[in-house]
Amino acid sequence: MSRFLLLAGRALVAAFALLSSLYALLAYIPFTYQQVHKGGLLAAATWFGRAHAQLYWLVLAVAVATILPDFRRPRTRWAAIVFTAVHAAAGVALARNPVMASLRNDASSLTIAFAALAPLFCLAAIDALGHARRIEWLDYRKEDDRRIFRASWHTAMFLSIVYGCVSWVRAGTNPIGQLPALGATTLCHLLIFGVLFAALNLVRSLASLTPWPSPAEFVLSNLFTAATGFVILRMLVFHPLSFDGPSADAYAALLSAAILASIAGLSLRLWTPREGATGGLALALKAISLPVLRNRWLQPVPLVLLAFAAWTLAVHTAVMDWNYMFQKLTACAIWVLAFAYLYAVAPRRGDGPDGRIAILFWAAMTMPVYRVMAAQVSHKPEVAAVLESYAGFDPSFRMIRDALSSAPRNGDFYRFLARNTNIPRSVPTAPVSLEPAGKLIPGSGPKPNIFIIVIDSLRRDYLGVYNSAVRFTPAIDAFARESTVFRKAFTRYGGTGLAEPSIWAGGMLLHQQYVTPFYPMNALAKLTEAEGYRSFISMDTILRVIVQPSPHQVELDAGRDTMNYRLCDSLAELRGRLDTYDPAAGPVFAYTQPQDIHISVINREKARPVDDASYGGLYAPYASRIHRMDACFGGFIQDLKARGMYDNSLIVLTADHGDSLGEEGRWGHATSLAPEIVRVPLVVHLPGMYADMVSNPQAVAFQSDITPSLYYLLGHPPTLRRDFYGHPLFTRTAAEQRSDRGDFLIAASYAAVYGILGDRGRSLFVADAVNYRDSHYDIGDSGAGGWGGITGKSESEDLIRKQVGEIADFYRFQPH
Amino acid sequence: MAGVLTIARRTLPPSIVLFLFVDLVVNPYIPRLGTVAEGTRIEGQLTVDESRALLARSRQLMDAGQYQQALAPAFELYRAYPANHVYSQALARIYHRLGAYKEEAEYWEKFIEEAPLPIEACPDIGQAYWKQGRRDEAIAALERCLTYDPYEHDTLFELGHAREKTLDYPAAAALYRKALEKNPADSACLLGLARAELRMGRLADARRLDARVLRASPKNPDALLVAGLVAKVSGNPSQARRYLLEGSALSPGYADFQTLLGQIAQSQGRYREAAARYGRALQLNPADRDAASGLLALNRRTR
Repeated sequence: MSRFLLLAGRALVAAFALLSSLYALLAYIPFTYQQVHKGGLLAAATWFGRAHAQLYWLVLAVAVATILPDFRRPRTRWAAIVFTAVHAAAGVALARNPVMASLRNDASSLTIAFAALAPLFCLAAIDALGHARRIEWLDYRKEDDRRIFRASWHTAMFLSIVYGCVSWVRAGTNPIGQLPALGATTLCHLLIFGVLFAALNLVRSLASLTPWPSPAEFVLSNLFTAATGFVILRMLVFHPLSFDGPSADAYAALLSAAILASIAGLSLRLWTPREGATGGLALALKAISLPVLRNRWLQPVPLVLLAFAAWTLAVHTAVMDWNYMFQKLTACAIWVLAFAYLYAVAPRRGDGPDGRIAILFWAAMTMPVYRVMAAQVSHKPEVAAVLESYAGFDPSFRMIRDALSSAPRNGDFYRFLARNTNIPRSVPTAPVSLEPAGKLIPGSGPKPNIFIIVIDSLRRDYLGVYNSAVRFTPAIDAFARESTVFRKAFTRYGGTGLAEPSIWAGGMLLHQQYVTPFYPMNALAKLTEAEGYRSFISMDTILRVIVQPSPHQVELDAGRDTMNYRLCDSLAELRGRLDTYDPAAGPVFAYTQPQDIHISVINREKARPVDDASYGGLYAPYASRIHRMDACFGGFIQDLKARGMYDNSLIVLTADHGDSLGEEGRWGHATSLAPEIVRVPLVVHLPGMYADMVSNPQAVAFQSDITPSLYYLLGHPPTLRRDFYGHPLFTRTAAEQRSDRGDFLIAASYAAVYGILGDRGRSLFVADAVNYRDSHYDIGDSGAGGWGGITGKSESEDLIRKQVGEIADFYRFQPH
Repeated sequence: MAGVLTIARRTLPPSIVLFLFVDLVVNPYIPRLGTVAEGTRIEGQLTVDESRALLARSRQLMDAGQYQQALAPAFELYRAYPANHVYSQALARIYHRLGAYKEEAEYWEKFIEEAPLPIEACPDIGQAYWKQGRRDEAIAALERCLTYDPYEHDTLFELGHAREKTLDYPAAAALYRKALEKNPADSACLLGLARAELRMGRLADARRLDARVLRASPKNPDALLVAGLVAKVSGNPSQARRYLLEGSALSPGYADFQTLLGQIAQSQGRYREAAARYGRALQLNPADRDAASGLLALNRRTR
């Protein structure tokens, strides 16, 4: 089998095993199970789960093809036979019981995640058995240290230049203004690759003390890489997913070992005697080294291709990223490939002076320089702001900066947040009966129809009513003129996972997806049930968990996957339902949460605008879909007017959260609480019967205030007064309005990231226990908000701790 | 020994570099790249600690009645954060204490522009204009206040009072009635309405409203004043005198009692007492036009 086919085959097998394992792992983590497996967030992942049992046979055939020669070798024959037989049996079992299509959110998924890595170890073992003994090893050569050093600093400079250009192109800013950042990124890369050199030097030194220096170098350098991989997986991948503890340690260790074993095995297999004797590090890098062209002038070509790959990967992973995780992982891959190639092309000189000490000295010198730079920057907020902005576009620099920021001074505080976040299913919790106004006695007066439209990921500044530069939402703007527009509306949760339940519960919840049964906490469902409403609800995957089925409910969008909910379709269906609706059956309650502009939907639809209109500097794929929704929303309002229902209907238009659309390199809404994510539109049309109600549109409001408002308007003034619970937006007297002088807690749905909104919604302090960073934003009236350098840490942290503690107390949760 | 030295020579140098790196990562006293140390000054801004200290100093001086001195720290905060309504509010309050109503009104206007709850400037902003004698602007400001909250009680009362002073009694009565919808027992509004009814010639309504207040609090000087007025207009000066004397005993510094007692004394021919009452009224309130004109009339008569 040719080298290319062997590499391709093994890459396919490794990708399949890793995907299977990670897919099962995502089922083990509660919120990813809810989003990916239940919610169909990633269509490709859903397809993979369904087709896994069939794909398995194809991949097994490829795996067996890569070891065909081993069936003839006495040393590996039985291992190859056993591998084939065991995995064929596993394939039969999978065909009978396709476990990947029916993963559960429990320990069985974690077990499957571990088991899915087994083929990689088996193949690595066959590779080692069959090929390790025939390798011709070089003797230890101290001159090779210079070669490693040369490859290290060349790699550092290459990455600094490539990612500097990537950042410049992506951000479109003046490179002169970014000079401090370019200096910082170069220093950071030199520091990291200086450390890499020192680590490899130690590995080689230890190996040189053994009787078999090159084989020991091969083993030790692989162990060192596996340990590095473990740290990266643990901190970069699992921590942001709230996958921590011994299980995470064990899985990270196994996954890292599986990847390294595969690469090491392949390196052993790829070695041929005509290449001559090899060193340990050279062999370890063999499988991942790009081909070295013989013509010296063409040798930079692979580097140009790598640079292009770095740019493409950074741009394309950014729009579907999770706390920069994918961008950083692609940067890791580019680091490894660049170093392997530059090591391969570095000249092997002999008989040179032993400059090891001098080299190590210069590597060590990067450390104090870094310290001095960090200390200087900490007193120059304008430089810190440039670095922060730059880090959004340069994942390589961001990874180093974050890695060097992993030792927080306030570790206790972050640990407290982590304990209260993404509470696993294994921790017992029970629902608390939420009765905001005590026992509900149905009112006898007239009741309005209620329509709640929550557009997933809708930003306020993409609506004309909030941003005068926007001209493509005429219908929503007209609706707003007949309604109350809350100018300082926020979400309690930056992510659908808890934002949607918080709307139904009317306030903040225990950070678990989800406390079940949820119904005792579903204040909105209780209210509509008690008041005899006929409900029309788009039952997305979250509402299926939190809303108890009832004979008074009609499901909208039945048979569609959640990510396929579209406002136009949902409203068209609702209009059809209203055609045949008998008003004598009770007032109407409707709730829908369309996904038209969810970032994953836009990406799934190739991130193209849906019309040819011009949207100025706005993100056209997003804006064009809002334009489309605006027309459907306007049609729905006109229809209600034509039916004579409008003046008797309470209509709410809001969002579960906003979205980042490229601000300082941020995309989507995963773990961050940036201003553009936490601010939402909130427009409420009250029917005429509530003309005497007062409100304060300039005060801080949350979409979780909708349910308490409905309680108030239907004659059940809420008596539950907690900082984390909602407050009626409309009251009979101004004195009953919530004072917005308070400090309000907000949180990310999927990670230990919490914020405090203060100064009447003008400032936002964010404590990020994922990246161990705190941020302070000044929230302006027009823009999305800017990053502020000063952190009023201690007070804000006390407020967060107090309010998170109150939530835990209220829901009777004892953090472990 | 040689073996140990070889091991040390080979492994120590890279180990030192790695140790330095580990220290860089785990040492909490090394600043993290890109974070800003607390207390760092941004050009044109104050640090959090500086802001807190200035605010505390300003409040301390206010509490001690040293309003002029309280201006300096409040101004520094305002200059640093011109868009922060908290500091324009603080300045407006200090100027109020200093009797600088022009400046007070100016900072209330700034407060209204920036504050999420502009109603908090009400009715102070109206009073600040009124005290400058800018009656139209005072009324306009108070009407603006009612657009923020149509039922804000103090604003309704102040605007009613302003309308009363500008002799627009129907408007004043309407405003008092609106305030009484939410606070039916509010004595100030009941008496304001009684005064307006009296001015519009509805004596019975005025008497009824005043009696409600007197029943609840017989020693209310305002109610006794209105009772005196009603009795005077009803043609019962001796009863009016009784109410007014009782009220004046309770509130000797209230000029209106003296003016009315002067008018009754004048109408009953007791000119010496009338002159003394007017004189006392003008002592208490030099701007009392009724007392001044009464005294002028007496002087002409004696000439």
